[in-house]
Amino acid sequence: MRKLTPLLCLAAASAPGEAFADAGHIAQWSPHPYALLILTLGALLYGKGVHTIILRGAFGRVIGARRGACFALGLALSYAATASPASEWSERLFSTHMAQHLVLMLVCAPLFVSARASQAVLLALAPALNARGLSALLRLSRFVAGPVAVWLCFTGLFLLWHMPSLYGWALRSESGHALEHGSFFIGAYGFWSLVLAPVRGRAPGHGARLLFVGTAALMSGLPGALIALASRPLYQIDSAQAARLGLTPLEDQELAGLVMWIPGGLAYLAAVLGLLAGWIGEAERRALRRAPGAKLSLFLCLLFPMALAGCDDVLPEGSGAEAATIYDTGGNPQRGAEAIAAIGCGACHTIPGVNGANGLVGPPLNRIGRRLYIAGLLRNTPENLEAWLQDPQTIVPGNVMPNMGISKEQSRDIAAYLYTLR
Amino acid sequence: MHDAPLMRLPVGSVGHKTFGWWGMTTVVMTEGSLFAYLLFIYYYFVVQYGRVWIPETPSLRLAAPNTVILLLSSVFVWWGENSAARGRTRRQSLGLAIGLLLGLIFLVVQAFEWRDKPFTMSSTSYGSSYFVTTGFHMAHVAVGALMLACVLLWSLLGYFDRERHAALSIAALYWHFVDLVWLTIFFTFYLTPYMG
Repeated sequence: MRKLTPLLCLAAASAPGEAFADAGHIAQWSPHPYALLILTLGALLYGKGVHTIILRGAFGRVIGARRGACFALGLALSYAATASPASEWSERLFSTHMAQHLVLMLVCAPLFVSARASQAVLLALAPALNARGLSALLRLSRFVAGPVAVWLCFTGLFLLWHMPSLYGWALRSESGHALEHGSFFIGAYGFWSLVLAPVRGRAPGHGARLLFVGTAALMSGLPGALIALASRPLYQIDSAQAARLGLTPLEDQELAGLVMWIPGGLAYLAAVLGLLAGWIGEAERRALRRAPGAKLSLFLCLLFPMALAGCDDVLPEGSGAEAATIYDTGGNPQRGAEAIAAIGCGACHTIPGVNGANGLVGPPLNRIGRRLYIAGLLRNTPENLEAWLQDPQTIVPGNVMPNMGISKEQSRDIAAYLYTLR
Repeated sequence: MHDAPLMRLPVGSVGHKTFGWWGMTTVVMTEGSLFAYLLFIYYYFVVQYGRVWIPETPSLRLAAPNTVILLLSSVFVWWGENSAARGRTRRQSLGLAIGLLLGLIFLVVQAFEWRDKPFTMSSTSYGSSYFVTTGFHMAHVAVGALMLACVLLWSLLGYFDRERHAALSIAALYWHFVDLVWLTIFFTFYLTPYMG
């Protein structure tokens, strides 16, 4: 296994041409006719789509320079994977063939998706199609693009083509080989379209996508493990080339299994991490929309787990020093009681100790000093209670408690009185 | 006091996204992983030892019709749930009853399938793999049948309506999952030996 390690790195990088040059074989770039045709056609259509976008003055919005660069990179890698010396070697070496497949499925396909290739191609084709043809195409794409269907197609194709009988057929037959690569690419394009689509509207959320990618990773990692652990050659592959490189067919196969298992798994891992980061970012944006001042407290909570420990909903029992500091508003309870009577809080609230305060509109305020929450959403602290008394309509717009024009001083006194109700 | 008739408070939540639903999705995830690794055991041995590891090419005589039976049961359960969402309580109970019946038939046929095997659980590693995997699946079918029976009973007692039938949706989710697992087991144990 020791002599395999440097080869493994090279195979994973999918540029093993140099490594093989000293094996006595001068490698040639030999584009495959099918692949060359499809890549050229794709590049032309994409270019036409981008041209349409530029004519409409929308460059930078639908597709910009970054997405164009993604397309160029995807195109270059696809060409390298199918036309470089590596691809010729891949017909004789199982491990480079595997690396070629992984580059097509896990690097090129997501690059093309990021480049919005299908949108550009559709835009390029739009003038040639009538409205009915276009809507039929869109309906068809929506029909086949359900998450379950895409998952089954992607993993199913991946598993099927790695069954020894089908794999052998693809190697023997030219059109079988083209079919193999084409179906790999289409399945992967659908897969990454779902994973990389913007999270909004009816598109699957982050959690669903994590499940989607995680299960697909499992379904491609396990066969990789099987191939790497097998103790005999499973595939009928010409072993002469492997032998020229000093590899036995079994070592070639172990290498292929490892390529499928580890670098392949890393691509899925990257997608999972990206989705997790997106999920956390979305949660943060949502929290900030709800409470604009929350960013600092969010930061503190993340930074100091201790801060979280202080967030549990248990107030100190008894009237010890802690309780006294919590409820010391600095106001005068006596003046507070007078203010309550003067403002007329008792019309709506039942307030112990205030004459005639037996209203049944709002909640009774008995033992409010021991309550955990006020207004159903604020922690019961002096600051919150005072803010609520002064301006309840800003905190919960449309609630029944009116703004009574209570001043800052008054609210401090009233809170001081209310906190005597324990 | 007024003489108004007492209102009956509805029971259960609207829609299916309840705690039970999320609980069931996590159960599906853990059980899905369990079966993924049980099937990995099979593939591992096949890859290590080749076809000679499989003592006899499994007969499809009982297994293929049984697969159809289980798939049909899923269709009927789906029909029952769909009818519940449209407020058609008769069809809802009928769909559940037929789904349950087909599930029980599956279990009986599976028992015959087990009886016909020339190997036992402890005779070969293939036997262990076969009986443990299909045995775990049968246990899941039995649990699913129990769930369907409960849901059918509640359905007959009129506990569900158009909006509130979360328990039905949860049981249906589990049932479809168990059927999907059977498809992977069927493909693995019964079809791959024919594919070479």
